[in-house]
Amino acid sequence: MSADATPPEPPVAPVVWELPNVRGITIRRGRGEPPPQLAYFRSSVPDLSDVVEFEVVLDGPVPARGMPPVLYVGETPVFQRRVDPDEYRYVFQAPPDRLRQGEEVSFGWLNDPPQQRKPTGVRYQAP
Amino acid sequence: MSDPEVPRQGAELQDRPFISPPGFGPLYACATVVQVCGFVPHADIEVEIDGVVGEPQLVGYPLPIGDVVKIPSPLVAGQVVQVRQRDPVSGLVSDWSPPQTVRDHRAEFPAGPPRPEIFPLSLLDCGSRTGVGNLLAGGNAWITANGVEVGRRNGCANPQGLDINPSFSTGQHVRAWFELCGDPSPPSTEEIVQPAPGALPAPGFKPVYETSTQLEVTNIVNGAKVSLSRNGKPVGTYRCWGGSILIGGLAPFATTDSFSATQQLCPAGPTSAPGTTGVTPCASLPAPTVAPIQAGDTSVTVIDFVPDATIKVYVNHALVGSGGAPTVPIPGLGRPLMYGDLVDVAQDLPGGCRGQTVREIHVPCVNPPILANPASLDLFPVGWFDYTDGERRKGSVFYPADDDGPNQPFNARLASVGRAPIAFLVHGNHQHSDPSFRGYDYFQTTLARMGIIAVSVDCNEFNLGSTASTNDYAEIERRADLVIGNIDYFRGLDTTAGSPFETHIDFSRTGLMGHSRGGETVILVPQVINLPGVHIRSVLSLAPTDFRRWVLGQEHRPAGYALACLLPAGDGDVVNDDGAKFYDLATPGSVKSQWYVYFANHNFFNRIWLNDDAAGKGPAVMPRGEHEQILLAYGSALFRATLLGQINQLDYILGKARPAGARYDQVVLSHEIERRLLIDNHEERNGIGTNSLGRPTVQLGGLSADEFTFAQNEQPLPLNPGQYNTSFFGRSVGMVARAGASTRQFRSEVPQTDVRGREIWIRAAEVFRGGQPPGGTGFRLGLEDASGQISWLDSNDVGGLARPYFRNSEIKTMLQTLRFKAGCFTAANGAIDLGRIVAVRLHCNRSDERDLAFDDLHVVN
Repeated sequence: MSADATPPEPPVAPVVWELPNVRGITIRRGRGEPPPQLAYFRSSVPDLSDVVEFEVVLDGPVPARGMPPVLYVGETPVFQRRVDPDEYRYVFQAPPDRLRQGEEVSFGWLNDPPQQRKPTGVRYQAP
Repeated sequence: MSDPEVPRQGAELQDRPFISPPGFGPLYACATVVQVCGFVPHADIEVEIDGVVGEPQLVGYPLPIGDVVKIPSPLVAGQVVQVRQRDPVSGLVSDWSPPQTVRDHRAEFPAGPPRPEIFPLSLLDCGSRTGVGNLLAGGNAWITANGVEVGRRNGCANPQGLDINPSFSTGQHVRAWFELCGDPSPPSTEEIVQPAPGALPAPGFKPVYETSTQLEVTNIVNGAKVSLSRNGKPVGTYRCWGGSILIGGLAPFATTDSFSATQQLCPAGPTSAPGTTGVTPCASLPAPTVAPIQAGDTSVTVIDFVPDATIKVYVNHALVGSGGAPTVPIPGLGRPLMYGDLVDVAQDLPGGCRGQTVREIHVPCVNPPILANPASLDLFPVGWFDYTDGERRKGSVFYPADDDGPNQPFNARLASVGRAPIAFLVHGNHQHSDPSFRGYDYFQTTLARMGIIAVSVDCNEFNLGSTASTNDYAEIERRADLVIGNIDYFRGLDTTAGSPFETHIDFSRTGLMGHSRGGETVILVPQVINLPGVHIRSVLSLAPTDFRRWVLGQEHRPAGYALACLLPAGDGDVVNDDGAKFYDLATPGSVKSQWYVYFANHNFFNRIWLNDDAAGKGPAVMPRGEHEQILLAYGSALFRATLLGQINQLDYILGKARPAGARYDQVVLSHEIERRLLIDNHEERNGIGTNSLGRPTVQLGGLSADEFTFAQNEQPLPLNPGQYNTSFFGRSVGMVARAGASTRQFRSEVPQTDVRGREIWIRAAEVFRGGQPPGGTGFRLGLEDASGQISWLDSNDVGGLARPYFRNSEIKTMLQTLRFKAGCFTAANGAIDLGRIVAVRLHCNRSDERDLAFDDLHVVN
C-alpha cells in the first residue's frame, strides 16, 4: 500500500463568544437583590437597601463561559443579579455612588477592552 | 536540546576491567523468584539471601523485562537480599548490589495486591500470547477465557508474557488474575476477544547492527506468531504479546545478512507480507540516548540503545559503570554524580562492535528524573452510578468496587481495612442542557482505581439558561452551598444502613477539584464549610474565576490545606489566569503549587466542553488527550500525597520528578512548602533595602532594582507598591531587576545559616515588555559564606528560565520556582563553607537587556 499525502486539517474556527445586542435598558432605583439564602453558611454578599438597577433586554441568549457578562457604566462594571432567560431579560445592580452621571453604558464581558464592548446608545443618568 | 554525540576516540576515555552489579526487586514475601535487570547478556547471576549465596544461574537478555532467577525457597519478610553478576565473556564479577529487605506486601497493599492489567492492545481470535502488567514479581499470574484457565506463570516477572493454550476464540471473555502468599488481587478488567483482522500488517524491524545477537521485530498484533528468516532460511517462530518482540540467541550479525519476518494469527488465516531488513555496519552504531541525569544520581539510564548492548558509563574520563540497559549503576565512581562532572556514555555489542561515538553530558545541578505516572496506581475495580436525593443534590460517583461496572458493591477488601478518602469535583458554567458533571469521568475513574471515592457534583442548576445563573458572586456562593450539601448527602450515605457507602467514607481525608467557576467554588468551600468530621486536605483549582474580587473587591486567601492551581497558558475564557492570585495569596498548608501549562486551553479538561477556546487567540493547543494526561498525572500526585498519605508523590509538584506519560515539558511549576526559612518575599512593605528577615540588601554593579506589585490593576486598590508594568497577573509583591550591564548584583543578607543538604528556592521570570526578543535569558544565584567566599550557579544549571508564553494579546510575566541544591555550590567552588552562609546573591549576568522578576527566596530542607 502506498503512502497517503494530504494537506493539514484547516484550523479550528475561533470560539467567538459573541454577546447579543441590547434591545432596551430601563434604569431605576430600588432595593438590592437580597443575599442568597444558603443552607450551610451565611452569605457575604452585602444586603444593599439602595441600588441602581438596570433591566436589560437582549435580542438573544448569552453564550456560556466562565467569565461573566457585565454592563459597563464608563469603566465601572455592573454585575448581574437576576435573569429571566426565557425573555433574555437581565437585571444588573450597583450602588449609586459607584456610578457617574453622563457616562456611556455598554455591554461586554468582564475585562473586555472598551473597543470590544457593545455600545447601547445610553448615557447614565441617575434615576 | 539533546546531549551532544562526540567521537569516542577523542574523548580520552580510560577503560578498565569493570562490571556493575545488576538491578533487582522490589522483593515481597512468598516470591519464588527474584526479577533481575541491567545485566549483560547471558550473565551468571548469584543471589545472596541472609548471607547465603545460591548457585549461579544463567539468564538471557536484559531487554525487554530482565529475567527471573529461581530461589531455593520463597522469600520471607525481613530477609536481606543482594545480587551480583558474572560476565560470561570477560569473566568479570561485579560487586554485590546494594541490599534490599524483603517486604510483606500487605503492609504496602493492605487491601490486596494491585489488580493485573492486560496489555492495552485488543485481544484477537487465535491470539496465542498476551502480556500482563501491574504485578508483584514472584507471585503467580494466570489468564482465564470464559472462566477457564488458558495460561499461567507461577513465579512471574512484572510484566509477564503468558502463552495462551488453547488460543483465544472470538467472543471469549478474558481476565487476568494474580495472587501472592495466597492473597488474591482483584481480577483485571474484562476484555472480549475480537475477530482477527482480514489482513495483518507486514512486520518492521528496529535498526540491526553488525555483531549484535538480538533484534527487535515491530508492528506485531496481539498474540500473533512471528516467523523469522535469516538469509532466506527459517530461524524460528515466536509468540508475541503484541507491539514488538525481541529475538535473541542468534549468531552475531554480519553486514551481508538479511532478515525477514512475517506474522500470523490463525493457522488457516492469512500470513502477513514479509518485513525485511539488512544489517547496519558497526561504524554506524550511534551513541545511546541518555535520560535526564542530575547531581546526586547513582546510576545512568539510557532510553534509546541497542537492546543487547553493554552500556559503558565514564565520569571524568574514567569507566565507572558497565552493564545491560536500561539502567546502569555507577559504583565505580565511589560517590554520587556531582554538578559539573563530565559523563560519557557508550554502547558496545556482544560480538565485538564498539560504538565509535559517545553521548557527552555535563551534569547539571537539577534535571529531575522521569519517573512513573502518578495516575498509574491501579488497585481496585471501579463501580459507578448517578446519585440523587430526589431534589437538588445529584451527580455521579465512581468508587473502588468488587468489580467493574455500574452499581457494583463497594470493595469489600478495602472496607475491611478502613475507610476510604473522598474527592468532590465541581464543574463550571456551560450550557444548562449539557451534563458538564460527566466531563471528568476519566479523572474519577483514575481516582477510584487508587481507592479514592470520586464524586462529580451536578451544578447545572446554576448554568446558563437557568434563572439561578446570575453571573455574580452570589452564584459562586450558591455553588459552594450546593457542594457542601452534596458532601452532607454523602455523610448521610455513610451513616445509612444499607447504603452503598455505609461506614466506608473517611471525611477527614476530603479533597476538592473545581474547574472555572467550580475552581473558585472549591476555594470558597474550605472557608465556609462547617460539617462535623469533614477536613479538606487538598484543593485543585483549575482555571478558576475570581468573582469575589471582581464583584466584592475582596480576596480569597487559601489556607489550611494543600493547594494546587492549574492555569492553562492559552486559556481563552478566563484569560487572565486568575488562579495565579489564589496561589500567590495562599498560605501553604504543607504545600502550595501552581501548574502553568503551555499550549493548554480552558475547555479541554472537561470532556463535555468541546470548543477550543484558544483557537484564533494564539498558538494551537495540545490535543484534548494531552490536557487530560496532565490533569491525571499532576492531580493524582496531589491527591495521592494528601488523601492516601503517599508523600513521595509531592516530588512531582515540587519539581523533583517528572511524570512519565504526561507533557511535563509544558508544565511550568511554582511551589512553596510550609516548613522553610523565608529570606525575602517582599511582602513586608519595608522597601527594597530590607529583606523579610529584617536584614539589609545591597544593589551592586549598576543594578537598578525595586519592589513592585505583581498584579493587575483591579480591586482592592490602590496597589502598594505600584506595578512595574501590566504584564503581571498574580497578586504578590516582588522585585524587578531592570535590564543593564552584566555586572548587576543583588545581595541579601541572612543570619549565619547552615544550608548543607538543603535547597535554595526562588521564583523568577523574564519580564515581558511588549515584545518577544529571541533566545532565553537567565541569571546566577550565589551563596556567600562568612569568610567572603562566593559560589555561583546559573539558572540554566537548574532547569532554566521558561520563556513567556506567546499568545496574541495576553502575554504574561508568570514566575516559576527554581531549585538550587546547596551541594552544587560546593562543586562549583570547593572553598565555600555551606555551614556558614551569610548572604544570597543574584547576579544578572546576561547582556541581553532583559528585565528579571524575582520573588519568594527561601531555604528548604
